[in-house]
Amino acid sequence: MKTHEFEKIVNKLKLKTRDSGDRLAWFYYNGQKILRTKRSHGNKEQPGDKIRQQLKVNEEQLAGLIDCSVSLADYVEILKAKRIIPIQTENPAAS
Amino acid sequence: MSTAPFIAQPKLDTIQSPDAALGFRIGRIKVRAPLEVPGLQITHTQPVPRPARFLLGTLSDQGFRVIKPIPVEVEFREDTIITSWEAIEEFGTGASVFSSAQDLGRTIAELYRALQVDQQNLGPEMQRVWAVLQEHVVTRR
Repeated sequence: MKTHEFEKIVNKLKLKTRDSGDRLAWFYYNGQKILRTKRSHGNKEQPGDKIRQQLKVNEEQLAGLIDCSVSLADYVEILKAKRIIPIQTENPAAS
Repeated sequence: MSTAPFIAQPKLDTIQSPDAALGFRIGRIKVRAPLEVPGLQITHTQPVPRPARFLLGTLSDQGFRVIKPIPVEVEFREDTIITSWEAIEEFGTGASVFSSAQDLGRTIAELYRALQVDQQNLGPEMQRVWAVLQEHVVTRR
């Protein structure tokens, strides 16, 4: 995965990263820390399979996150189906 | 009566060049195979395989102590080496196993701090990761 592809995911999922250049990027939903992934500084190529594992998606879904076929709402549904977003957390106010 | 000239043979370790420092050169020499020298045995060894896994006993952060070794998988890829802790799906990258493990250690430390400050606000997966982290790592007092 190219770094700019990673950044597309960061923007689409509204992942929170600190300005200090942290390596971790967090996905919040309804105020809860749900998942994290990581940016490796200095590498043009990011390990896509590891990032995919951390985001809990399959290869097709990861490709969809990079292009336009999987939206933030779709991603939330994917995580709900896997019980990674608790079912009782129904308020869709992400972050 | 003539006397034979007295020749003193200097010890090998005291031989010095009178005019300039002695020099030497390291080069390849060709030998015919098989080389057979009495008393000399040549053995061929296989290259030592690079480690595929190891136990990480320290993080690259003085604020933490590892209380239970962290099992680390190593993957050698085209231009980078990836070390990962499968139980929490965390990874580090680097040009060497050492630098990759350092990166992994820094990330684990950062993850620990980030989860610690938000303990009451973690989703199910991050609760699981937090529990695993606490089994292996503690903060130094």
